Amino acid sequence: MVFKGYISSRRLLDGSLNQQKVQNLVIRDACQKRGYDYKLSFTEYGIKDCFLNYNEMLIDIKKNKFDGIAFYSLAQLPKKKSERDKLYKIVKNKKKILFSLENILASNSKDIIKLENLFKIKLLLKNCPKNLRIK
Amino acid sequence: MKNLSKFENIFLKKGVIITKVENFRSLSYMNSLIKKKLIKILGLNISIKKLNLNKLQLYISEKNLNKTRLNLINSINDDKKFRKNYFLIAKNMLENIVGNELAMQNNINLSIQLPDDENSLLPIHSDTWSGDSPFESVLWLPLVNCYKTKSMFILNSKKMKKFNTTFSNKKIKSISDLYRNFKKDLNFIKINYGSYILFNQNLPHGNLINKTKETRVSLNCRFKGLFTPYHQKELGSFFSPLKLRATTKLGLDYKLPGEK
Repeated sequence: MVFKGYISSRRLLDGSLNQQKVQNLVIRDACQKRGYDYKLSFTEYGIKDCFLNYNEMLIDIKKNKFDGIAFYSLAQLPKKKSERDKLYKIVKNKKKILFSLENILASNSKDIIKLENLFKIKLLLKNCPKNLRIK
Repeated sequence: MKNLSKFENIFLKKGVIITKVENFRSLSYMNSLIKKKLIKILGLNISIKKLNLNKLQLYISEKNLNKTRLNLINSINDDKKFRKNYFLIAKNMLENIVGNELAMQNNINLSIQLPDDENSLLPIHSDTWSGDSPFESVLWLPLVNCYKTKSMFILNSKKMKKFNTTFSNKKIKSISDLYRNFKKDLNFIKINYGSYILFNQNLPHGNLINKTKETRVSLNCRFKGLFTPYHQKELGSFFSPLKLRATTKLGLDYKLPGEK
C-alpha cells in the first residue's frame, strides 16, 4: 500500500513545531513499521489557516494516486469540522489515514469516531487549567 | 563588476537574473562529475563524452528515477570540490546581489525531469510558504538547454499584487486551483547550458509535466546573507557559513581584556 506523507511548516494546534526533516522521519518510520510504502510528503504552507496542500491531497486520493495519507500528527487536522469531514470520507473508499506520531490508523467509521473524540479532547485541553490549587 | 546596477535593478524589478556562468571550468567540473557518477550508478558502458543528459530517459525508468536521483545527490554532495565549484559559477553576482558574507545551503539539490513523468512535479509555490526565510535567493543551474515545460516557471513579478489579493480572498482551495488562477501570468524560462538563473524564491514558481521529448537535469541551491534572519531552514542543519570577512573573523574571536 502506498501512503502519501503530509507535513507542516507552521505551528500545529498543540503549539508544537518540528523540523520538516524530523516530521518526514517520523512518517517514514511509522509507514515502515506497518509495511506501507512511503511517498514523498506534501508540505502544508506556513500561511495561517492555509490548507491548499491538504485539499490537493484529497483530490489526488480520490483519483487513486495513493492508498492512504500519513499525517505527521493528529494536531495537523483543520479546526473546522467540515474540513475534517472531507478527510474522514476517504475511509468509505477503503483508503486509510495514519497519524504517525500517535501511531493511530483509521480505516473505518468506528476508528473515525474515536479519532474525532481524541482530536476534540486535545483541542479542549488547551483551555483546561494546568494545575489545581486546593485550599 | 561591470553592469552591477543593471543586474541589481533587474533583480529588484523582475526577481530573475539569467546570465552566463562566471567560471566555465567549474561548470565543466560539475557536468563531468555528474556524468561520471551517473554512468557508475546506472552501470552504463559508455564514455562521459557520449552520455547525453537530454536522453537520460533511455537509461532511467520512472520507477528507478527517485533512487537514482537520491544516489546521485548523495555522491555529488560527498565530493569535496563540488560545493566550491557551484559557488564559483556565480561568485561575483552572489556577492553583489545576496551579500558579501554568505551562507550556502548544505546540500545542493538535483532535479531529473524525464519526459511525461508525473512524479517529479513541484507545484506552484514560494519557498517562504514552507519554512524558508524571505532573505534567500536560489541559484538554478541547468545542465541541458531548457525551454517550455522542460524548464521551470515563475510568476511575473508585476502580478504579485494581484496574486496576494486573490490569495487573501480565500477563494483558492487547492494548489491546482491556485495554478489555474495564475496560469496566464506564469512564464517558462528559456535558458541554455552555460547560463544560470538567480531568482527571488519569494516569487511563486514550480514546474509542470515535461511534455518535451528531452530530459531536464538541473541543480539548485539557496544562498543568503550570513547575518540575515533565518526561518525554519536554520544555520547548521540547512545552511552553513560560506564566506566570512576579516572583521567578522576578528569579532568572533574577540575577548575583552581579562576575559578568558
